[in-house]
Amino acid sequence: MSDAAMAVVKPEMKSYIWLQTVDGSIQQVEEEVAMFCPMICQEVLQTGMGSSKNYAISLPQRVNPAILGLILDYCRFHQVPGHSNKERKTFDEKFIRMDTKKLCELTSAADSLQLKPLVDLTSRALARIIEGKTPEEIRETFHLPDDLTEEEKLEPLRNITDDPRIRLLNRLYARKRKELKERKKLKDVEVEEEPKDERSVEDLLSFINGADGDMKGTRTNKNKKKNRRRKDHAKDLSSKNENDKDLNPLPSAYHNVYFDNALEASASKHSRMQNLPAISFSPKFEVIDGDVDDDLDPAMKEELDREVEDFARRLNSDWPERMQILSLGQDRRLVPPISMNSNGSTHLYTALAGNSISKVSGS
Amino acid sequence: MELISGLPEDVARDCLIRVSYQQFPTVASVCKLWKSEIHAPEFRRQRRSTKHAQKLIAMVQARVELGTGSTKRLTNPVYRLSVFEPETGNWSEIPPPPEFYSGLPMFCQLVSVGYDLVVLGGLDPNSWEASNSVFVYNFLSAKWRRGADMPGGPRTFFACASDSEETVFVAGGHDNEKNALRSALAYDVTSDLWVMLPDMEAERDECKGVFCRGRFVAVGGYPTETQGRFVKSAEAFDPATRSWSEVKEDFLDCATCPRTFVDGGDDEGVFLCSGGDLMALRGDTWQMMATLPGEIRNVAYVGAFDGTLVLIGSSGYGEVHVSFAFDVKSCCWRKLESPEGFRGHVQTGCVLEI
Repeated sequence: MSDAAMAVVKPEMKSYIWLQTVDGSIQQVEEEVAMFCPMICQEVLQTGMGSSKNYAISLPQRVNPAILGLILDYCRFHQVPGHSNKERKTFDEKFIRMDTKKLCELTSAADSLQLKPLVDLTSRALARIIEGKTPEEIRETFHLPDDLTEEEKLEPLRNITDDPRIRLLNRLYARKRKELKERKKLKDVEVEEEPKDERSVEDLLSFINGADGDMKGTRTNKNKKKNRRRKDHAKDLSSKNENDKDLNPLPSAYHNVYFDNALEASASKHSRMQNLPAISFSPKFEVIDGDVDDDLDPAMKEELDREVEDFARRLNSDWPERMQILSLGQDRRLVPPISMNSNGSTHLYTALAGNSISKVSGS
Repeated sequence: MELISGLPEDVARDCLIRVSYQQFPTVASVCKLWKSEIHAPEFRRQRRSTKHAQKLIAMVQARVELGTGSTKRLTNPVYRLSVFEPETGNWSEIPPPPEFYSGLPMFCQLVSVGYDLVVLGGLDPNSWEASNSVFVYNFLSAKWRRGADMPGGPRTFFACASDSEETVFVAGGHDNEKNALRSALAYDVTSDLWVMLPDMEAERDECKGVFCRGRFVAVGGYPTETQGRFVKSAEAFDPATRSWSEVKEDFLDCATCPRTFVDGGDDEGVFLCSGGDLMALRGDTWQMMATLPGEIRNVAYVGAFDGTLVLIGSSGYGEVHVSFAFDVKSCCWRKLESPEGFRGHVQTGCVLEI
């Protein structure tokens, strides 16, 4: 106790406090700087430790020498009473610029030393880091497990509604999106090979179409017309599936041919879907089909067509009943989530539900 | 498994509670641990006690075409959900559920309970049909869900307020034949259940509801027989005793529409805009606190929190709406910035702390 008291009494000589970190290393720190930490301050005043090398204060385990250095830099600046608030703020902003791992260590160390202002500063910095990241990035940064189910995660396409039809629809969309991405990747690779392909396909083309010598140009025009017709059928949906634009398929003749056949084959299905009362989701499928199906292989396309048809059938069968329930105002179903980037699925749901819900009247 | 590796639980929580409410859905989709952390009542409690909860004013606001200042138009304006953060001055919008893509219902009510924002009733903007629907927006998931409809016949222009924790109270209003109602209901948001409450003493059409000092107060309104003749009385429902108090006559100073009546919190008392003035109830007497600035002469909405009132109004019919903050202690007015697109008429609003 006397040593510490004597240290304070000699103003000409700088006084030091001795600190020992968990790795055993000991260092001396200017007294006014060290005393800025409440934990150290408490130790000195209550136990008298820290006055010499042999009586160094043992710091908590969470404080390693490197971090201690940082903390002392902080204390060294802030313990000076002369700084303005602006200066302190500027110092703080620069001070916390470090990688996330170190920031965590610093927060932890500051907390163990009960240095509240620094804990506030670092916590705030960590919060800002969290705010700027996606869930995936957060998991990476903080080494957290990816243990939520698809339902539990809050991606725009996933929803928590009971309605299996909406879930199926979203799954179809999700799958199409994935395929588009993969096709696009392959396409980017294949771009250079394209001209070669076309030529051999020209042969195939004429073989399939009875060799009437149609130029690729004509074929493309025919497709465009069909496309436009299909799009005219579609009800006014203001936002298209973004992937449609991304895809912009290269007018490979082979694909166009297939597209023609596929369109004809599914034309009947589509027209049936057109007859659904007040439901315009089928045109949406048409629009997607029109732009995208060139790239799907036949088997996949057939499967998807089948699913769409099945979906339409199911929807058609119990939808009138559903509308009935809704108009009685007794249906307490959950609604699917909103996606801010107005992609197809959101507007789709408008078409599905918009007409019925607006007519709900309490009874 | 730690919330944030290397940090003790309470320090990690200290970081998470500082995250802005707009990031709640992100935090909730990181992992199971973070999801349960943010949903725990402790999270909300600590956020509020350490003053990291954010104040928001959600409001049903008309969308104004950008570039035009006024809302003078032939067709009905389309109403959307705006959010104003008084602490940062930030304005944003909450996307509506599909059912409200063509606009929120006219004269719907807006209240908040915990992390939920509840939109009740109103008239369909296209068909003008009354609806008893209930839609709930959750800030943790940024998702809408539909709640159970208000039971009973169609009801509009009713008093509505919440205790901010669990329950939404509804009283009065009128039915499809413009009969003033005296019935009352309560809605538990978590269990999605409505219960009938005892009737009020008086029929109250176009009354105003506030929740203060633990009681749901229905202020003013008028009975069927005297349409438009607003009364000055009020009655309070005590959830603890499940009963209405005696009607307090002359609760209001003058017979006026109580639309702008607002509770400033336990310390501040209640306020009302009347005749171009901002009035405050001190004890049993109404006193004039300040004159309303000319720009907000027609007050559309008044919100109150922490000794501040936020008033949104316009200088006249069809004019742009502006916002002012009024500091109760100093009686000072301060004009607030509102960006283009957020200067439309406000039907109703509610203050949240999340």
